[in-house]
Amino acid sequence: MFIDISENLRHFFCHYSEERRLPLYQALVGELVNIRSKIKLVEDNDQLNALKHQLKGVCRYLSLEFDVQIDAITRLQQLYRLVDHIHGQVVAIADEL
Amino acid sequence: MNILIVDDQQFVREAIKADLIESTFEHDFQTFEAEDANQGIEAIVAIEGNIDLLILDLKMDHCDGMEVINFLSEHASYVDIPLAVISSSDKRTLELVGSIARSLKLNLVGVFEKPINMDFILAETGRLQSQDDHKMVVKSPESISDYDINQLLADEQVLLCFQPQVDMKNKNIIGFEVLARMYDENGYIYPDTFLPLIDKAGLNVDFTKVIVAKAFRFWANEKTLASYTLSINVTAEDLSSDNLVDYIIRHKQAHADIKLILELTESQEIINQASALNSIARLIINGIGISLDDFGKSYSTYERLDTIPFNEIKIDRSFVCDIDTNEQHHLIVESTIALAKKMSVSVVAEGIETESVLNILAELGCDIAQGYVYSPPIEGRYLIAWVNRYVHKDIAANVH
Amino acid sequence: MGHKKYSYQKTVIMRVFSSFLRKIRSEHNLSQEGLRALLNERSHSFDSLDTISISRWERGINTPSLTKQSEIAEIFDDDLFNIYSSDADFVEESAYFVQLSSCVKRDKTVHPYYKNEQYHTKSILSDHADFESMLKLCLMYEANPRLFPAGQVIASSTLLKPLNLVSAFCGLKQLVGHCLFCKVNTKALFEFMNSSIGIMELLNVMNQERANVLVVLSSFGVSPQIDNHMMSVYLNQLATDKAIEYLSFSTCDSKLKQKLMQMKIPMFKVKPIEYQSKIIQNYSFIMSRSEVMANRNMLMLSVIPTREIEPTNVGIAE
Repeated sequence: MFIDISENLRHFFCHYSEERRLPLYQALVGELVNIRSKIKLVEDNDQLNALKHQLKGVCRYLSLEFDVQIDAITRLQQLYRLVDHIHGQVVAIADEL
Repeated sequence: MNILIVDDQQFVREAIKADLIESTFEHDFQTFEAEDANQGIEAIVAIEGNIDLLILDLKMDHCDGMEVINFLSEHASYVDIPLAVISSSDKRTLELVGSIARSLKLNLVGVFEKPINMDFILAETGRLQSQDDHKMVVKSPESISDYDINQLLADEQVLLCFQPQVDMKNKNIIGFEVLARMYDENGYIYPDTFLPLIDKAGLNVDFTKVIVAKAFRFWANEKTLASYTLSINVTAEDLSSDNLVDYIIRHKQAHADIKLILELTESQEIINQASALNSIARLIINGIGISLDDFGKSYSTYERLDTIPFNEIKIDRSFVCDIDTNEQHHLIVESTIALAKKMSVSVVAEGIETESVLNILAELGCDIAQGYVYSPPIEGRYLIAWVNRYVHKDIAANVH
Repeated sequence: MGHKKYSYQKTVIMRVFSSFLRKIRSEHNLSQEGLRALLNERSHSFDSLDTISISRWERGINTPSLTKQSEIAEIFDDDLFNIYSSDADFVEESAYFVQLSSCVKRDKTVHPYYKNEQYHTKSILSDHADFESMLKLCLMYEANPRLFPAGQVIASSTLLKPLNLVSAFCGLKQLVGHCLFCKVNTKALFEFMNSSIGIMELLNVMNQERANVLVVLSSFGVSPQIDNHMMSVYLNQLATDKAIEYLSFSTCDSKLKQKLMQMKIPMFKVKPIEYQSKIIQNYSFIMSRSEVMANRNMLMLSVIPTREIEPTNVGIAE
């Protein structure tokens, strides 16, 4: 159902020198956790769109062509699952960095 | 090189910083970060504006990049900070913000979609900076503030150009819009340069008087032009001067056969001023036509349309020139023409550059066309020759 | 230094125009009053002209603007380019801006990397062996997606014939400047500027009505001197080809745009276009012939005899 993005993630991180990878990784994980926790607090469409926008920004940096999928999201559950998935995959490659 | 990054996502800020380190540009980068517009503004003030590049995210939590853009434009000491606007928003929004930044005279490096390419942005910033250093050997000795606008106007160094307005059905020339140029020993001076100077010197009324006098003298002298309307631009400020209104009416009375139309720019202001409405009434009574210029640019124009008995609406060139590719503009022009028809006033579309736009306008029922597709503004001394050529070409076309 | 230079230019202009007036009066047997009356009759610009002014112009005490001068010249079937290009002093003054001077045999660049090198210019015709490579370099610099898209094989040379390419070289093959322009019809030009047609259609001049606009697609020099020299090439073309009614620029080069604005050339349009998934600006300018010739800087550039420009294929008829 959800595609494997570990190759994309590796590709992203290997562009940077080793000393830059850790801060980037931490910032990325922090960002995803941040978005995920805000999903529970969403009260209206505007807030949902704001989170979708933030996720789009992150995905663009990771060269993930998710613009269309993210735009199509209408329910909080869908957004949650996507963010959770990406987070899981990022954490999974942590020891490779 | 001092770089300020304003973006609410820490990950994006980290990625930009990492890119800077990896970049091929050899600079000592000193980066500053801000999470939102307020922090960004605080940072600009704290660094006293010594920023070589400001990277600004457009959409942030609880606020947006426009706050920073407005802040920059309001302070002379910050307006020159090189600005790169970034976003995951769609291109049109980015372009719009870019246009706004430019019109606010900010030092815009560009608008960029995320993920941004720092090498490219740094290169563009460098190019922007080096333009200021590029010294021209052929240097005009004067700058804008060196124009002696009082002297130029006193010497009547004003030149009238005329742009034709053509009937869309039968292709006949209906009239001409008067477009003024000024000149000094170095060349022509154009409205966006001299109008602010005239305004600052308080010479608006004098300037319009010169235009009116010259235009009437020209028209009265040429029999060929007698049947064509003469359209002259006036502002709200002009209309509040009784002196000027009298002047115009006197000219019209002295030349009863000349068909005069006054194009009211800044229609929005006019509608709100009682004195201006009074002037308009006097002008209309004396047989002078009224045209609402830049139509569609302000929303309230629609609300108070019943206040002025105008004869004509002019649709602004920014809506007209791309109706063949821009769906929104097409809709705006279409509804304006429909509205004009309901109110029985004629519609002039200006800024038509290509035949495809002309054809669409014909289909939409536009009455009069003006634009480069027929001719750029023609200097007075070449006008008669142009008219003769046009009329003969027309006759020749009809014969075939 | 700059200011002093300008005053001397003005003196030269005054002298050239005053001798023109005297010549006209003697050829047409007119007194100063007679000339005044004639000008007053022929044009509204001279409604408040008095005979004293004419006397002052002839004595070199002051001189009317180039705009008025061109009107007077036109009334007598002459034009400013003709008048000024025939005056050796004026041409010499103008040549200063490209550092072409009779006492300096070859042109030198003033540039950090090419300090003491001479440069020479060459007009490259479309069927010349180097045309394609020189054109590619020019297009790479210009980076304008409206011109030939990068990497596309450039079509046969016959289709490109209307393109004028002039390159400036240092030493054997070091490119230090170029300009790229062509003569087309205004209708086609506006369609090109509005993206209704592409560059190949624009160059298809055979299918257009008479060509009346010279459009510059790229203009560049590593030093201000070479930059001016490139500009003088197409300005001279415009000045000598009376069929050209307008001068236009369509470029993505912000340096060129800056230069044009410094020369007080009005910008016509700024259009954002996409290039390699970024947005860049395409700038266009258009001015009438009389606007060009009344612009002192452009008039000066146009008279610089482009004696270095020679077609590299001798004997090919234009």
